[in-house]
Amino acid sequence: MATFSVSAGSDGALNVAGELDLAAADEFATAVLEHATGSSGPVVLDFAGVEFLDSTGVSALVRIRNTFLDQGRTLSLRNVAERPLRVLQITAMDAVFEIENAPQRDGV
Amino acid sequence: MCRHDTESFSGDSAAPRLARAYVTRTATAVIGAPHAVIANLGLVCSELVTNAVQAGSPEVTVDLDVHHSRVEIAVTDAAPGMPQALDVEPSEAHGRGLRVVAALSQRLVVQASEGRKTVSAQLVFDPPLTEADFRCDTSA
Repeated sequence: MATFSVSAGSDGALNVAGELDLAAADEFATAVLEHATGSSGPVVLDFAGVEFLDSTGVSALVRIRNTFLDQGRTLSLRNVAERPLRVLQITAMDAVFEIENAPQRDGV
Repeated sequence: MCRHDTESFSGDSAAPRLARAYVTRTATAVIGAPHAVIANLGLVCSELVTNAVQAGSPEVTVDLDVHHSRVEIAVTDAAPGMPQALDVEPSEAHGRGLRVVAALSQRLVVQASEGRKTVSAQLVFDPPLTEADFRCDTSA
């Protein structure tokens, strides 16, 4: 049973939903890279539907970013909810990934 | 202590999801409402169980102790090797799990004996919860 999904949004972003953990990480990275194969230029992941992110999901994001960097493409995230954003902050990845429309932390 | 609970999971890639659902469900039942500390507990659980699975343990046991002032989680595995918190470069894909645990926990303790090791972490309720918040009699 897949616990996450990656789908093409209407504005060219990739909509990511579900739980990005050990069970999902490898398939998540593969799905993003496959979706981006047919296009060029910057890649935007819309995280509005991401309910859970841990360090394995962060690792997958790093692998995705490294692959795109090799292709001369940038990766950015948008609509990252508070909990996933906290994980990106703890792992210092909030300074590595460009994050658009990130909500403010609220004291957790 | 208010409530002790334990459950074991087979050491596959579904274990982190099942284990964090278990600790979230159990701790929320005791406290009676969602709490930011319980959200952190789920994340800590996911990281510790992931470490145990990735180390090759066939089974992972999660012990949960809920107190008025704190919640303690202990994850026991039968895998060789000890956990290490690594200094990782931004471009490296691995080595961030224990960093997440350390950032969200007050105490992180590793104990090893007879081929098993237990990694335990403590998350503090600040301010402590009151008796009225608790449902200590929810254990089966």
